[in-house]
Amino acid sequence: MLLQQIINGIVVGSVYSLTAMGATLVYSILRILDIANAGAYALGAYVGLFSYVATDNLLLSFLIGMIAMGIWGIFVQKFLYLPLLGKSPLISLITSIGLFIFLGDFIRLWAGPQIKDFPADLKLPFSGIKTENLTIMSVWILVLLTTAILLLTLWYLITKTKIGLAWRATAQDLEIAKAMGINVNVVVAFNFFLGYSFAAAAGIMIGIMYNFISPTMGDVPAYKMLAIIVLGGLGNPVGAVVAAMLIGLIETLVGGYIGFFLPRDSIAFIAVIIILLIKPQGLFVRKNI
Amino acid sequence: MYEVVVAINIGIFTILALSVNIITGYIGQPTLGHAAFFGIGAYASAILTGKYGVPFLLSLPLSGLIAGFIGALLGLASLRVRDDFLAITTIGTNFVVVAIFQYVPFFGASFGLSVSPAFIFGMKITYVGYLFLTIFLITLTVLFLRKLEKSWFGLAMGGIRNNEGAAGSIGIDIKKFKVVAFILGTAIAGIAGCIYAHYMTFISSVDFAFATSITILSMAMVGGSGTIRGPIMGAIVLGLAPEVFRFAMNYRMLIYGALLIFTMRFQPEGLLGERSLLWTNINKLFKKTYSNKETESGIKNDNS
Amino acid sequence: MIILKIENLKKFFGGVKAVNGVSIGIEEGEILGVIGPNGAGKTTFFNTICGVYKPDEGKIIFQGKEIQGLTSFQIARLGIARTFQIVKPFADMTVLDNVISAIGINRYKSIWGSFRNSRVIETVSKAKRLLETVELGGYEKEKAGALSLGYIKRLEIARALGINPKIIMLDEPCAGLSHDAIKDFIQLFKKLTIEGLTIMMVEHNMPTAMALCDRTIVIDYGEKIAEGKPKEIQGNEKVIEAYLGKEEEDA
Repeated sequence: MLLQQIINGIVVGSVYSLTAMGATLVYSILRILDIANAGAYALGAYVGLFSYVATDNLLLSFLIGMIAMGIWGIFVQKFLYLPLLGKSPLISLITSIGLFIFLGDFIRLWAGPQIKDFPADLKLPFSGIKTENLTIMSVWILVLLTTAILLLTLWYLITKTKIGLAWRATAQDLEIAKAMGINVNVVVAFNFFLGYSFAAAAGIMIGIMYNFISPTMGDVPAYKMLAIIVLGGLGNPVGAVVAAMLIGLIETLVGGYIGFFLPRDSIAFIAVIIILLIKPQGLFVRKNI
Repeated sequence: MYEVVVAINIGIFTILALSVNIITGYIGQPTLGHAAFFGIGAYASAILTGKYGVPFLLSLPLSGLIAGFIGALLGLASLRVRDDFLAITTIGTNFVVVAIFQYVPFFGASFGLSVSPAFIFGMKITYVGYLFLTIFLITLTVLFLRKLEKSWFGLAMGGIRNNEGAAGSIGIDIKKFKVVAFILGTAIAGIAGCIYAHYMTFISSVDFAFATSITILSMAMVGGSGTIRGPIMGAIVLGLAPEVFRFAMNYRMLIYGALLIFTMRFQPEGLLGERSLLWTNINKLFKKTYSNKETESGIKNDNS
Repeated sequence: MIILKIENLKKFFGGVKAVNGVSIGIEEGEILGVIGPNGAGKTTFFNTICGVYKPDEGKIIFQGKEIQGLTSFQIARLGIARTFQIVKPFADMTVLDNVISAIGINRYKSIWGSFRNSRVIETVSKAKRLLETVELGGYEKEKAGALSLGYIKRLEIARALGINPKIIMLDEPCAGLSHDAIKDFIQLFKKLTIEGLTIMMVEHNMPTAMALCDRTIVIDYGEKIAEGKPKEIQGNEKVIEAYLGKEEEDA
């Protein structure tokens, strides 16, 4: 059923857009590909789960997860990425991969290698839709709403606040922003806080949606998100959202409808390769919002 | 016996690390999916010897050629797609190649592929034989790279690595050299793949996944990008580490991740890089020992 | 004898007419200055001649042969060398290697040929001599990126000379240099032309251009507004207006 697949695709796409936002934000400011962002995705899910077990309050756990990873992000940029600024991109990439590997194993050693449930007692004020042809689970609606809220908050922060203005200036040119008196350190910290908290949000929501978290849950997103942000035009948040929705839709439609002979996860990369060969800068050019 | 197997593995990865270094360390292009070419060489040889009865000694260079041909395609893509976009394209290539090996029946699909043992002049190659073969190939590669470093090609790569605009202004055809560099790096990886396939006697797509690409690249970068000694050292360190730290087997990935982080953060040129702690101290030691003798004439190549 | 002839050269970027119909003939052995206010299009003019950009219209004729549309490396091989306004050294290579790499210009033509050893005596000696010419003797083993700006500019000149050019195009060679360094450069350039080299240089600084150039061409908004000996240019109303006008804008 085409409509069902489209809706599935939109839900998948919106989670992707949240996940990809972390890496996009990092790239916008520091021009580095941050694979370790997916580490915050997984770690955030675990922090969220453990908070939920402790507090039994879903919203609170969600916020704790986001804030914890946000703080971790500030840490990472200060001690790892800022000092490596200006060096070859391969260096920060290997560092980021090292951090990702480290985090994945850390989670495994800390929480155990088995997958864990995320038995969120949702108690939502709305229910899903279930007709003959269509199923929209209530948790999907929650995911769509949360994604929309977070992305809109981000949009507001970046376009309508003072720090957002500083952010935009720094994203355009870090050196010039510094020269203009902008406290670039604060902007970068703010940026990483956002980027990493968004990753945590995505991880927690995936955990709730599929009732499943594991130490390796970040593996596929780590690389798929890179494909998505490249597709959207590196560092372009709007492009990233569009690309994420596109990939979510293509994956679902091709997988469900056409039955592709290669694994679903390779679709994002095939799309990237094809599009980059046609349009080497990605779908969207680096825009200023 | 076990030591021989470990040595062969380290040897194969030494060749791989040296080969990826041509593309990343010498000509400065990001390539994060090098294991794909390792795999192309492995599968090529497995199929050539298994299905078409090609003798091993012939399939060795053929694997390199096939991998190099696909590498040329990637090289051509690198002309169109730049920097970070190229990095993702190479990752994507790795994923797609592995997916093809994993799902297309011709390549054995998820069952993997059995590889017939290799014969040289009628004699089956033993483990020790593979070790010698690997060492021989490492030697050839090192000799080739030394020639490369001292040659005009090496200077062209240096120009492109540092500043393409300036390289063009002194007559360097950037496109041509980039593609050839990709061919050289991937072909050598393909040859390593051929050896790997026959000595393992069984290959599957997992062997050539992105994680392997990262291992190969880390060896080159942790050891010392753009040098010959670097990838060799990196392969030895990262190859021996699991053996040496056997007792900490459970923490293997943790240690590996930490090693990558700390090396890149504090010795970004690699442990044996030009300005690394280790290399400058080794040099000091040499200078002390040979303080009365002229160690190098002014003509000595500074690229290694 | 005219060694390089530019006919009605045009280069547009979208709506911006960066170079808009410039024509000039450069005499062999002369030093031609290309001057004009900031943003006039001088560097774009250079870049278009050297093949960094393909011209939208016009002809570039070098030693009787049309070269517009060729790539930068092809133009370099024909004997046109250049330096850059924002320096582009091969930073992680030694000073000596920077120059050697240029001397090998003909070696890069074939992949097979490029595998030959570059560190042969003649090549190395020639490189050392070029470094002496720009007074960088003694710095052979330094990494190019570690040098100060003035020294890097000298290195760029040595590197450009390494391709054995007939004409060398210098883009603001004196920018950012001390008074003494500029004096040294002026002497160097004069010496080079005595040896038969033709020099075309963008020079933002009027006094330097006046002291050095046999002729100058003045560019403003992508167009040639004057051409002639320095003395003639100095009094030219259009030139004064162009510079003054720009000063007012900046003020």
